[in-house]
Amino acid sequence: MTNNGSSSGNGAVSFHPVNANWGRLGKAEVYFNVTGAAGTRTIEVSQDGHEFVSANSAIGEMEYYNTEIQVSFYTNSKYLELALSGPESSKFSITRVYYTVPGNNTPVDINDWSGQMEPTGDPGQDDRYLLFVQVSTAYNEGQTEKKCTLTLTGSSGVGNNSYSDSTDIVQHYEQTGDNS
Amino acid sequence: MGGIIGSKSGRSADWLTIQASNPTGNNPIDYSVSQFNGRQETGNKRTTTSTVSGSAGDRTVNINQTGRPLYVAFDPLNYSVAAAGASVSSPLLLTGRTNAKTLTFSIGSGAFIELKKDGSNNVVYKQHDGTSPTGTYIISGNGPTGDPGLSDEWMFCIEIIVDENTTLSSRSATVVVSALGTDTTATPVTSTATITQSSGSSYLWLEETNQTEVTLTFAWNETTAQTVDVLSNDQWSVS
Repeated sequence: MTNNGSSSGNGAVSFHPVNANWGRLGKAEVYFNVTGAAGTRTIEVSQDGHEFVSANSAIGEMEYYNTEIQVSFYTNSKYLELALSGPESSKFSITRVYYTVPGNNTPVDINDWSGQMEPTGDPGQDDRYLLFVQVSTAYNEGQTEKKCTLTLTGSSGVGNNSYSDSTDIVQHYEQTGDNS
Repeated sequence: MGGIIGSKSGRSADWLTIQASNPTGNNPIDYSVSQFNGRQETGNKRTTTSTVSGSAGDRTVNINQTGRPLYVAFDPLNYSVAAAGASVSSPLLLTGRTNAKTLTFSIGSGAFIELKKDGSNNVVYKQHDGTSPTGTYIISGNGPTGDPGLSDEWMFCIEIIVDENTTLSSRSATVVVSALGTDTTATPVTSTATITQSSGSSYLWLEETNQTEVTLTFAWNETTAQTVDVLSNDQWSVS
């Protein structure tokens, strides 16, 4: 908070949040008092929250000989669901899901990602957190790329709102001299 | 042989007092007059006659009294007004006395007062009967019909509108009245009234008068400042 005015007569007081609020919930109201001989006046300051899901990359690429890739999302949702889609999605599988919260790099594994997931303690209330998804597939022996789409959908259980983002996973094929 | 002393005048002579303590033989007659407040101008006087009668016949004493020099005075000279001020509907009334033909009013000092004006933006004033304003408004620079100042003193009044004092100090303003007789080239005589207004109270508002609370809401990604204006006439602090 910055006091931009004089402290006598007419003046002004300025406020600005130090950072963006990445939490799903708004920042709790903070009360400032302006006090003079005529009494105390109150300024209530708050910052809205918002819910979101954001993939950290639009495309995750694997070489033909790589059998797993890890992609990540930022989110602040309370409930999460993962889905693989695309004609070749059956050739891919999710093999690990974990998350980290701000200030703590220790991964927290989610053991069952087949349905709705709920990170412990709802870390998205006050800040965004990182969700890591490990996707596995077989060695690509074909002559074309193998691809699918990984979608993360978040919701908070309030209303019918949900938020999604996706990463395309592409496994390249082995380039030979006759591939034309 | 005694004599009969009487007074004879073409008009009322209640302003003349005649005293003859020994109306016999060689003795004086004392004539005294009350103050004549009519304006002193060429040809302007009040006159009467007194007749001294005796067996030898009537003798006439002509009494003439010249007028009082042009004068004007606010009465009282000093006025007080509350911090709340005085509105058009309930103005501060300044009063005074004069024998002028015309009066002109102006503000000597003080930006927080305003003289009464008519619909055409002329400063106006009225006569006063000692109790309250009388008659119709007279435009400043003019005088009442019939120039009553030639024959006697008359009272005047003017309405003053006073702004609210929002400062923490008392303040003063002055109003000047200038008086002229028939000769408009003469130097006017003046009188100055002083208006003193009480100090106001301390106030403290947010954004607008009477507002004591303000709510600021920032969007999730808004880090630019929002400003709250503080309206005050006193010291204040933020905590």
